[in-house]
Amino acid sequence: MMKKFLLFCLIIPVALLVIITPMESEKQALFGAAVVISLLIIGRIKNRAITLTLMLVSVLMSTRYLYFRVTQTLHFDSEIEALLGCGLFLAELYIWIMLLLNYFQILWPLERKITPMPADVSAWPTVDIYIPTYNEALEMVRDTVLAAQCIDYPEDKLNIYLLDDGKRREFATFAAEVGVGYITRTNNAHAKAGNLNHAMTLTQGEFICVLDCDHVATRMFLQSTLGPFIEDPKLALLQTPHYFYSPDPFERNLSVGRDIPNEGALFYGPIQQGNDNWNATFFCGSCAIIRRSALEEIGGFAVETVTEDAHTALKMQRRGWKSAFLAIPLAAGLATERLVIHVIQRTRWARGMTQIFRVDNPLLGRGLTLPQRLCYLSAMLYFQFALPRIVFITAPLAYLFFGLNIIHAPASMIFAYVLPHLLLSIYVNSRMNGRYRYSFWGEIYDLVLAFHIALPTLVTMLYPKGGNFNVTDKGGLLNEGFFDFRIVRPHLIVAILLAVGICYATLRIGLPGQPPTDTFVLVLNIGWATYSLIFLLAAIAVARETRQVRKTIRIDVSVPTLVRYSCGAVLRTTTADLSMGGCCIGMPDQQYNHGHIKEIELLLNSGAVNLPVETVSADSHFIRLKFKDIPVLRRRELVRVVLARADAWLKPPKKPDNPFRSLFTIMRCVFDLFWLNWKNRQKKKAAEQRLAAALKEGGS
Amino acid sequence: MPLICLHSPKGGAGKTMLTANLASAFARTGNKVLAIDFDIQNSLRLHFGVPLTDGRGFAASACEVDDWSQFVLSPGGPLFLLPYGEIAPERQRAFEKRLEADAERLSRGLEKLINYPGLLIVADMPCGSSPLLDALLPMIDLSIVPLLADTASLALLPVLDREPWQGSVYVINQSNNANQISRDVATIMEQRLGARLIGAVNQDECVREALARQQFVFDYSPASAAAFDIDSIANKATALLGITIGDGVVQKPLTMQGIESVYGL
Repeated sequence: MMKKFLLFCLIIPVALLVIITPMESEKQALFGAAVVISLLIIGRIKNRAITLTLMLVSVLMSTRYLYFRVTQTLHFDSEIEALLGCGLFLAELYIWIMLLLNYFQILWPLERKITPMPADVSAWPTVDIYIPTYNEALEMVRDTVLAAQCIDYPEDKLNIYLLDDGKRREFATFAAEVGVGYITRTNNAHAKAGNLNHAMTLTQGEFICVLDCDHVATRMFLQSTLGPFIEDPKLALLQTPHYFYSPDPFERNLSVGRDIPNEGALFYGPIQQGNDNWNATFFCGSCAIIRRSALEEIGGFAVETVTEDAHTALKMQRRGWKSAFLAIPLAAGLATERLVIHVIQRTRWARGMTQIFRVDNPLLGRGLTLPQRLCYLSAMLYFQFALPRIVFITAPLAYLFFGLNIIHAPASMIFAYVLPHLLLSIYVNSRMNGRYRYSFWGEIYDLVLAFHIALPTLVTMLYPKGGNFNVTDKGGLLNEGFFDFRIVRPHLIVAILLAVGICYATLRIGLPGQPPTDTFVLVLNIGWATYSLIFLLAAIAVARETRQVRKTIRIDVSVPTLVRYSCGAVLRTTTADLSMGGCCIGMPDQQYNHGHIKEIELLLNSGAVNLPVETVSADSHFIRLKFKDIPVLRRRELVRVVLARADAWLKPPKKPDNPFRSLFTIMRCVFDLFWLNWKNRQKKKAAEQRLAAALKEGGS
Repeated sequence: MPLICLHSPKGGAGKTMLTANLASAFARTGNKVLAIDFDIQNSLRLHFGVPLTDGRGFAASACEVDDWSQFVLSPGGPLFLLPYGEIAPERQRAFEKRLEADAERLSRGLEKLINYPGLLIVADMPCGSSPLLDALLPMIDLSIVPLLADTASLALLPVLDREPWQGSVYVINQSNNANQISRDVATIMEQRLGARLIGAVNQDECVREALARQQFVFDYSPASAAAFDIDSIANKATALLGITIGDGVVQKPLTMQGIESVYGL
């Protein structure tokens, strides 16, 4: 303790010295370079203490930059410059605050392991699984319910309920057929939260497991998550990651999307693990277990905001309940299929988080520890990124077009101060979160949303009470690729402005009669604008909606299979892949390759399942089959193997990040945006020409 | 060396088919196998590619010739066949009488074969009880009883607890999971017979196709469900008999009287 205190006393004056010592631009450049290079060198040692040191230095250099901005650059010649300059400074201040909060959050990610259940099964608690649905198709909800029934848990301690706010008859009959509870209500007050609260009045389980209606759970879901609750009676919530088996718009629409960690990986990795360390993990609406007594204490799921999940967690934590995060994907769902749907969903999140910030601010009120306040604050402030992002990408326009100086400092000085700040934050983030989010990708994720959520968050900040809950549409298919201009219209406008500005400014470089200092500032602004343009174009590339045809998830699994031919022959083979809609089997025997396959029998560990099939295609090695109507009980057996396997969603980790490679991939996305669009157009043109020629021929 | 015998209280359950294909399955795992036909129908040879017109076998001269090993045919590989052969009705009656009178007759005839090192013998018995079966019973190491997955076989279950079927292991033949009755019968048999049920052979057209071509099911279609099922039954039987392949024992090549009359195909 004493040692720590001494260390602290030593660090404070040094830190202050680093932050406030003013320097000439050359000296600052040298200092910055020395710091960056020495950190890169000691950064080669991979251990936690070094990482924390790097974080500390990164914070110091960023703070030094901000101090420099405050003390030396906020002098303006005109009101308009003052306005824009202050705007930029505020945006930078926001980034700095977020940097600090973020570093704090992920200081010590808690890598929680599965707590085993007690050997005595009679000590296991009772659980209600809630599957809320409103307007989703039964086709989608069906497998979620069947998978929930496959969860390994004592039958008398597990109840599954389908909470249908749509009051649909086919849902009621389905629930009766498979044997789960069906709950509906007379009104739809408070949307999902209201639906869950209503169900709570009708069921009695000690724990409530919420699964969104597209979240297919694995068999080990409950046994992996309930252990900590039995050990710790003050634990109210355990959240697990939302894993998506279908590609999100970024993965699908960007040419390199599949090779990068997806958008949610950072949040459901280091961030929630970091929150867990501070006992500040929050509920994300699904794939979580909640203790009923804790919920009852706060009057059920929170209904004051449109993000009932985070708010519910906050309210429970204010009462002293603990929360936890287990970073093992135990359920998988559908990602939002289209960019526009993604934008709508995130707008809701942004509004909800802003609402909580206003009506139940984590900094105020009782019951929370300081780290908890900061973690919740971080989550809420994160969604205020829209305005700062817009300010950043548009800021160079002021100089490029109108010669407005919004940073009062020579370009060399700005460079010398800002580069260590930027480079170190990129480097530290890459080191800490590299496997979960590649460098620069966050900017794309944010930029796509920025123009759309700026206004809603601002309005909500001012008037937090308005607005209602909108349900995210999922499970849609896209038969044809198209470019969604609507969603990126603001991006396109800014991109064109930037491009024009860059050209205009490039032409002015070296024009006679210009002082060389101006040329330097011009180059700085051109560079900045180009950087903004690249990221904007990458964000625009996400709007190039590509075809989404595959309806169901396929897993590569080798299940012994009997193939029944109409002629009576029964051949044995194994599956090459298996999905809920069909399967691909190895060609068992060439002499039967013209035989008509009537039925297959999957020889599962749990027993054999007969499925009537239709042949889709066959080659010399494989036969692709489509399942015909499967009775629901047999479908459950299929769900058990395809979707509910314990290891179903465990994937090998992504390659570690390399900021240069990451930047290069982003450039490739931009390049592919133009190249693929051009190629598609050529293809279409060629097809049209062929059609025209064919018509002509037919006519003559 | 181990003697496996297939018999059944009921005809048409697949004894001959199983004898032939089990022999082939044993041979494929590295055993030397001799299949013996004790059934007057003399149809085991057909599975081994022996033409219908070839009536050779041990039965016709069983009373006179002391050592029956000279009648062994060698259809190829490590597989050998002792066919019953064509036999006139009066000779058959004489053979049966002799067997009843002289209990040692059968064991003497087979002595050389049974004592042959490393030779696995699979015998196809006539259905129901017979003097042959009675004479053979003391020598049997494992008796396998095939049953059909139908209600008639189900009715036989009580009989199976009596001699000579007591102590046998069982195999369901022509099982078909797509068929409700077949599935139910299989379930009941599983419950009744427990560990004594060592496998089930799927109802598979490949079995008939294979016989029509005078092939083993495996050779006709290695992917066939029946071939797989027979293989797993063979593995179970190997385990029950404690036969280990691959323990480094050097087996002498088969040299026996009469083996020179290698069957030329």
